[in-house]
Amino acid sequence: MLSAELLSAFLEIVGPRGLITAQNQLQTYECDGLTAFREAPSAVLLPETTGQVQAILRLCTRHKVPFVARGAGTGLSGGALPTQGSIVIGFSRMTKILNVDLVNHQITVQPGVINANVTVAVAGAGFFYAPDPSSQTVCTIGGNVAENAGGAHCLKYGFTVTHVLEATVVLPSGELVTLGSKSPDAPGYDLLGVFIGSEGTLGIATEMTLRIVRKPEAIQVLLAAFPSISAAAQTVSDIIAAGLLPSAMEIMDRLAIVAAEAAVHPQYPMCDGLLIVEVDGPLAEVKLQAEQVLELCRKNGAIETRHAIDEGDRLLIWKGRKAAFAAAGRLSPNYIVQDGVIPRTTLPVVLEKIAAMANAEGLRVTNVFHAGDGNLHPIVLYRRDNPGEEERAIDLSMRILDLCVETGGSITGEHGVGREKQCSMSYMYAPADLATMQRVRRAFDPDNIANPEKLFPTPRLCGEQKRGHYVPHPVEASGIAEVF
Amino acid sequence: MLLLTNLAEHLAPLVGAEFVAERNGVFVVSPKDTQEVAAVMGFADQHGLKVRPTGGRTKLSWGSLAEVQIELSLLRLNQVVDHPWQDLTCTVQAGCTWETLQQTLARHGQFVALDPLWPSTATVGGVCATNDSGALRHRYGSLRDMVLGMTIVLADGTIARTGGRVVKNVAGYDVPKLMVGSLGTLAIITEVTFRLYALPRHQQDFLVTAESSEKLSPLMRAIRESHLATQALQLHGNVSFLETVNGSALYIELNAHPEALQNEMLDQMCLREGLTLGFLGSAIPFNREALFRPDAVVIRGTMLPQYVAAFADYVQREGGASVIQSFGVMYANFPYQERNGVPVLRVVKDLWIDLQAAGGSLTVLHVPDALAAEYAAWPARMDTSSSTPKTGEAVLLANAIKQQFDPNQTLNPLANESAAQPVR
Ligand SMILES: Cc1cc2nc3c(=O)[nH]c(=O)nc-3n(C[C@H](O)[C@H](O)[C@H](O)COP(=O)(O)OP(=O)(O)OC[C@H]3O[C@@H](n4cnc5c(N)ncnc54)[C@H](O)[C@@H]3O)c2cc1C
Ligand SMILES: Cc1cc2nc3c(=O)[nH]c(=O)nc-3n(C[C@H](O)[C@H](O)[C@H](O)COP(=O)(O)OP(=O)(O)OC[C@H]3O[C@@H](n4cnc5c(N)ncnc54)[C@H](O)[C@@H]3O)c2cc1C
Repeated sequence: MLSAELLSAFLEIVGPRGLITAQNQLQTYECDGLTAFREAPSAVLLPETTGQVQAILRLCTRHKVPFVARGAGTGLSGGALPTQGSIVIGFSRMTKILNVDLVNHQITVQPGVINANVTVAVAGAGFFYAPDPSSQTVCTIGGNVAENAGGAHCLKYGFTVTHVLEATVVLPSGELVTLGSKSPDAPGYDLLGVFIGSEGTLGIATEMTLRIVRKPEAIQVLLAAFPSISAAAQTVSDIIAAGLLPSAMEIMDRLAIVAAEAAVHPQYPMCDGLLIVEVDGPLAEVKLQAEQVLELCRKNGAIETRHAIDEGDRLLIWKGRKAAFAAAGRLSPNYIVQDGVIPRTTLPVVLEKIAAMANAEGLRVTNVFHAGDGNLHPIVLYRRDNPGEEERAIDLSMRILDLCVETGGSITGEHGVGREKQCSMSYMYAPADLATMQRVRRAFDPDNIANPEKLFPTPRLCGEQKRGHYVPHPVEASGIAEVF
Repeated sequence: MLLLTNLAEHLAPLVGAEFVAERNGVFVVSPKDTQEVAAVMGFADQHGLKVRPTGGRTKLSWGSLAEVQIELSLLRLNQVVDHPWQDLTCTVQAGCTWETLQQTLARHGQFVALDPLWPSTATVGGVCATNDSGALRHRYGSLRDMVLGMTIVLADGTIARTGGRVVKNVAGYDVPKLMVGSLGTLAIITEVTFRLYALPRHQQDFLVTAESSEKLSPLMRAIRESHLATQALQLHGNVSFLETVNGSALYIELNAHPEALQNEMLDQMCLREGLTLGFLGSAIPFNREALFRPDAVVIRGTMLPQYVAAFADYVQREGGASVIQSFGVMYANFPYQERNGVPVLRVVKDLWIDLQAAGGSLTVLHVPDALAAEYAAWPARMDTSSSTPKTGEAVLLANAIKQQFDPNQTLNPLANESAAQPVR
């Protein structure tokens, strides 16, 4: 599709090892974690320097060729899905850690650096990189910045946006800008703040300076079993009301416990609502906080409570929680994972409504969620073999999202909009709200070539919108990472 | 073309005649809600009138003030709309003062974890527009980490709801980030949703003094590297209101249960550095406000944390006083006087150059009347809105954003124009 002339210009920029055009190799890039959507790119370019990225984008602008950036391709909403006729720019050759500045608690990396490797680079000095998506052993910092990725611990530590100080960004025109700064409060508009989470639609980040955090002195994990999920949810509210700020709070329902138990044997107490709480900080503080949390659990009728007896036990408890999604396959041959957010106080009501909606459809929904921040991950279980069941399951999962919006929440807490949820955007935002976002986009990308056809609803795409059942990402299927 | 003389007649139907007043040729309009703000903006934009949004008017003295025909006061939008305290969020109108907001939230033991200047008069909208932050930032971060959503009115009167009301939300662009610190040049903020924290239960304050900031530097570093639950870490260079001290002081605030015995750890750390730990009551007895003397040039500087002590001493050597957060935000004043024949504005300019060389920035917040003419004649101004990004392209990008949001240059016109001025 690309002219021979353009291809040879690309070749000149990235060299033969940086250009992929063979059909069978292009297939690797035709989808991300949302495998229901596929589109082969015209070519894949693997630049090695910021200068090369600039040269590529200048050509893209001149020839109006759309481009899609790609990190590890673990995105769950189709962000790295190629657009028809687009090239893909991958960062597997930009994986250097450029500078470690322990004095100022920062580190500068290239976009292809894997999240967990940032922590590896500074762990020896007693630091860690706080945003911890459960795909962290594979996903890249470039992808994290584009998705504003969060993890189990963002309740206390914040999302990616809290931890990025500066980014070198190549605009779609090929121009280079530095957004943010290594010292606080860069003068001018917070263009970095709006770039983070823009899902590759505003430009390409080629260098990022991240904040690193001191490792806490102590960590403790507690488990509490409740006779109902609303008792567990109430405990979460009480913990917050008591002024405690755990680093993570997770809830699992009975089905999820069954699945996790079958998969990794975390030895959870069997119950209708399991609460996992992690507290960290100075040793003495952690002890005091853990006691207060346990006290609140008992007050809310916990049938059983315990804390991790050692590091191994703590990791096992987390392993069970993290395995919950993959384990859904043990409950049902097919399932759909949703990612919606609700105000924490509405948890009991929303869970009841979800259960009622599922009953009415004759489908099962299991709930695993980041209770601390109201981020739900309902899993709709179904059998594709039963005629019409897939359609009903998809419909149910969409209505659950609508329910999240109706209670004042959001259609996505961490997986992003991408291709998957662009039509739900108009459920959450009015036309004027979306038009305001488009103003930002036009300032960065006047030609609409940076990851077009994503994030914003378009009549064409929303007309033919179809969602598939959940297919585990290869890294998930092979046990490298879990959907969390 | 509309006649300015009968502007009041046109504005009155939009907000009610009693909420239009004329002050020195400027029409002050006080709408009651977002819809009325939108009506005024739509009207102004259509007729080429310039508008300045105002809150408590505590900072209108800084920055280059362009002439506007309309001052749009947000003071009637002063309600805390919603405080679902179990969700740790609140939604508040932009004209509510910071203090009123905090008092309301305190009923449930919560707060927006930010300590801006002049809380009793500064409004939520003004604090957001200026991106103010104080000592609490050490533990809780800045507004960027606290604003979850905003209702804004664009120059053309479009009402947009941006962000969300929940603590976690990655749906679409984070437009509120763009509004924080934009000095009213992109849109008018009418409502803000904040993430909240519980008020700290156990707070302990300490003060360590020495003749210079460099002497305090190793301790500051050690605290930053420690496991102490530090809530604030603030260096005071040459602060005369500390009557007992002639030199520098490090103010330390711990947020820890007394049983956690963190003060003993801190005591040990001081001993190790040959310093003595002093105790304070619960309130900070001095603050940034004290730097804003009418006879002084007041600046805000930013720098990498490693240079904090060095710049505190720098300011002190030049006869100034400073309050610097350990993470690298400094407020400093230089009383208007000649020092060894060096005019104070020269001192500020040198400091600016040195801060920039160290990767930071400098903003002039206040210039005494006596220096105003001299300051105005500077080729490149260092005032509040000299929002000068590093590279030319970033300036162009900032201008493109302004162009998209406010193509007719209706909102706070001059404030942004200087944003585009390259600093040499
Ligand atoms: C098993 C599993 C578990 C997961 N768990 C979590 C979780 O807990 N929390 C969470 O937030 N997410 C989670 N995710 C989603 C995903 O891992 C994150 O969104 C991650 O940030 C994507 O990183 P990536 O490198 O794979 O990016 P990709 O999927 O390759 O790309 C994601 C987006 O980023 C853009 N992009 C990539 N690089 C750049 C760049 N340099 N500049 C600009 N744009 C760029 C792409 O165009 C695309 O829009 C999970 C995914 C899987 C498969
Ligand atoms: C001399 C002096 C220097 C100061 N320096 C600083 C400083 O460097 N940094 C800092 O953070 N604070 C500074 N302040 C404090 C500043 O007053 C506070 O930050 C305060 O929050 C401003 O709020 P206000 O309601 O008084 O706003 P105002 O003074 O009324 O307005 C401040 C700015 O915000 C805009 N604005 C106000 N309301 C809105 C709204 N709803 N929507 C959009 N824009 C709006 C105005 O147009 C103006 O540009 C300074 C104050 C003074 C007097």
